[in-house]
Amino acid sequence: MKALMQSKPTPSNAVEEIGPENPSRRALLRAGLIASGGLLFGFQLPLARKARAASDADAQQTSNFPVQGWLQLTEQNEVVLIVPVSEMGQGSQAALAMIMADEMGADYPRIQVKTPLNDPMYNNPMFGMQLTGGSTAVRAWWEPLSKVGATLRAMLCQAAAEQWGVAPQDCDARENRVIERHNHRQIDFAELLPTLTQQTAPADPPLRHPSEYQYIGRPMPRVDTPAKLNGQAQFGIDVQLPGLLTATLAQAPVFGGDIETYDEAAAKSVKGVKAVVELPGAIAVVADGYWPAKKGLEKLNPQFSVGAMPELNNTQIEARLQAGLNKDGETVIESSQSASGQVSETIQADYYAPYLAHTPMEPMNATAHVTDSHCEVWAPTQNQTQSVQAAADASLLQPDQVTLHTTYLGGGFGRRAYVDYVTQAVLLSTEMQAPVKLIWSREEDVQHDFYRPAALARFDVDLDADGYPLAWRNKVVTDSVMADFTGGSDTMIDSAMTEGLGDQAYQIANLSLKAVRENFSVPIGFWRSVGHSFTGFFLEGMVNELAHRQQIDPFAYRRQLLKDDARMHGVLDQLEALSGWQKPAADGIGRGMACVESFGSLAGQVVEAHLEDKQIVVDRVYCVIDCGRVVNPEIVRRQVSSAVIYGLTAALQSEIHFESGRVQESNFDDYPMLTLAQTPDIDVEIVASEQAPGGYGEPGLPPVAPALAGAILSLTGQPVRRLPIKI
Amino acid sequence: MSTTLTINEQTHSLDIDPDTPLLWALRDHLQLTGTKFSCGKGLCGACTVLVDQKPTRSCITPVSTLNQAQITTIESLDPNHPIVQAWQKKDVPQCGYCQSGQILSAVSLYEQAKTADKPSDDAIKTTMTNLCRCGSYPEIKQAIDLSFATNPQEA
Repeated sequence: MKALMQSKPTPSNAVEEIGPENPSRRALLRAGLIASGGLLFGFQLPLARKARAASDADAQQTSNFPVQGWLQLTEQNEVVLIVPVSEMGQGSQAALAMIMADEMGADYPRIQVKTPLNDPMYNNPMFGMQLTGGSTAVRAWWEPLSKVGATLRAMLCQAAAEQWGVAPQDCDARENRVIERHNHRQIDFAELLPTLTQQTAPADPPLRHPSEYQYIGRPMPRVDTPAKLNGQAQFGIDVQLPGLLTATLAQAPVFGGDIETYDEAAAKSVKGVKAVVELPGAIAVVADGYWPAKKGLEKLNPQFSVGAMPELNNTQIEARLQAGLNKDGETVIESSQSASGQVSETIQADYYAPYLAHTPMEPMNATAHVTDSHCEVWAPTQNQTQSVQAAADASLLQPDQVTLHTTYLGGGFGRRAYVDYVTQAVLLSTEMQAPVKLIWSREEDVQHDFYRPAALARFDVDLDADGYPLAWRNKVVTDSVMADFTGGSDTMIDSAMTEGLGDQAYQIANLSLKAVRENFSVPIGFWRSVGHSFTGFFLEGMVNELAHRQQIDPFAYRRQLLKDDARMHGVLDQLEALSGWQKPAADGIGRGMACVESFGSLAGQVVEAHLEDKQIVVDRVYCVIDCGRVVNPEIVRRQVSSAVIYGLTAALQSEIHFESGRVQESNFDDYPMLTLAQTPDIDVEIVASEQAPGGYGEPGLPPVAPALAGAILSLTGQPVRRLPIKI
Repeated sequence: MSTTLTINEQTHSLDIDPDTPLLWALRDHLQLTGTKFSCGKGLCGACTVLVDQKPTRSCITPVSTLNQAQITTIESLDPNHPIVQAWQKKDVPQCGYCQSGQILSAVSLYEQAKTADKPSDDAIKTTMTNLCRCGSYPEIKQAIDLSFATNPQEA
């Protein structure tokens, strides 16, 4: 590589472009020398807006960004992959690295992974934003990353074939080297670097046949594990900078309130406290560490005005949701077909799900360093696009003057799709003219979340003489997370309010679904599985109730309703076998089941539970997921199991309460998480499938609450229509 | 006011308030950021370190109480320790934020059991009280079981 760099000194604007004949190819792939050695590849993906590739020095001159790209081949024969998603525990770094390793012929166990800076080239193709969420990482990136990998493999093979005087088709790339099939010659990628830049990028290189995969489909270890065992993994809260100050804050306890009075002198009497800074709806104490900042905040005694809804409490919330049932609402679906049969009876049932907090283990935090011309931010965020905009707005700079470093996320679950903490950190750094790390207390996290909204649903179901629905009228009253996220109107109705209720797998001749918006001025947001987190409970709870009423087995009842949905039938069959459903449950053990399609995948679960001194004990959860083609089955299993535990925590013990407009819960003592001791045995099976990949971070959640409710129903004979479940 | 702490077999003299929790001495003064802040009330265990071999919630332990203590953090843990090896083999972490605390709690359990029987499932359940919001509990349990299965003293 050195020789090449000497023979071809890089002019200031020089990027070694590959594929000179064809302008569209040139746009597809660009490779640049980098000062540290090796080659950096940038690509124009069909769905990304722009690509970037340049030498290190060049990038310094022309851009605020260090050089970016998709991957780097080094002179030490290493492959460094830039993975365009936030790693928050879901294992996407590993899954995407496996895809790339297989397609290009890299050695997965040796692959290095980096999280990129902010750049529209990393926009999630399903969102058009640099955003990790919606269980999209594998769905969105499998194809584009495969094309990148296949292009590189083709070029590496061409370079080697040229050197050996053989046809490129006789070469393949495996484990960071090119191999000639017939003579078994091998050459490391690093040795091909000098001639690689002269190769023409093929326009449409063939992707590998799945039979050639070395890694995809296998339970390969995660790339992020070693750093998470020795304390070296860098989360947002771990960022260190010279001269870094630490801040913590108190926010108005009633949403929309503002700071009125505080004792600045008392706060500043604490050794190490540097400043007290007012923020919108909040006040922060800045110090030379978290502890003095926290002590200063305790002495500050901030008093806030009461915000938009100072009277808000749970009784009021439920009364308004209940009143919403009497409103017309917006029609989501109105299907009316002639159905045979007489209405035998009509069943009405109301289902309720409460406000919930996310509580990722890492409290909200961000670090910012703002100067006159630049704003640098370090954040554990799912949402780079809005973080950059928030930083630009808060620093009065342009988005292209913002550099965002995404650290590891200590959990996301949707909370970190919101960027309030970025705005605050940037305002603090601007005020202090110094780098500032803002760390929220757990209490602030619980009391200033973007909550899963409360929701109330009513079902009116006309049953035929056999107990199957002839007509199904369903109304949901809740708030709109999309209106909150996109700044939509107070009356906006969004699909998340009713997702899964209209597009359900059950075929009912007369289906009416309506949505009513009730806006409580409580910040709400995406909570793992979003609308499905309550609609799954509503719909599947109701189906279980109807089956139980008619004393029909819940599997059989669903098979009748599903008609010819082959994939869901497959999930039910596999779940029935896995859970041993045909054998009677042990004495005292209740069983329930549910199945929900969400995020492009189908998930079915059976829960076994019993009662001990009026407490629910969950013994076992059987899960079957059909998420199409699978990259890493172990990661899928872990995500389903993770979603089950997250969903069980909520179903058993989570509810956010309001009193006088204030959130009553504050920490893990009054908003408790499931513990190891409470965790049931969890079995997960993945349906063998060649279908398009589906999501798997969220689909395991929606079935668990209704399956548990079904288990309680089988024990007590009483339908469970409220979460969390109380006996 | 100077406080002396012995951390990972090194002695540090810090000019900090004696009521400063060990967590913030580690993170803000010694740049040992493997120990995590999460609840600040000793409820979740993300801040767990070993104080004289015992798992201790560093977020509620003032440095003034630790004058004579031997403190062990995740950074000094032997990567060949059977617990760390089992954690790697089982690929336990998801987001990873709670894992320093989980691992040190499990190391304590393992070291105590060296001279006794393998802990029962109930003992593991009552000892491993650290919270994990990702729900890596099944793998934590499996990794602890594996560490004992591969323990030469048990073989």
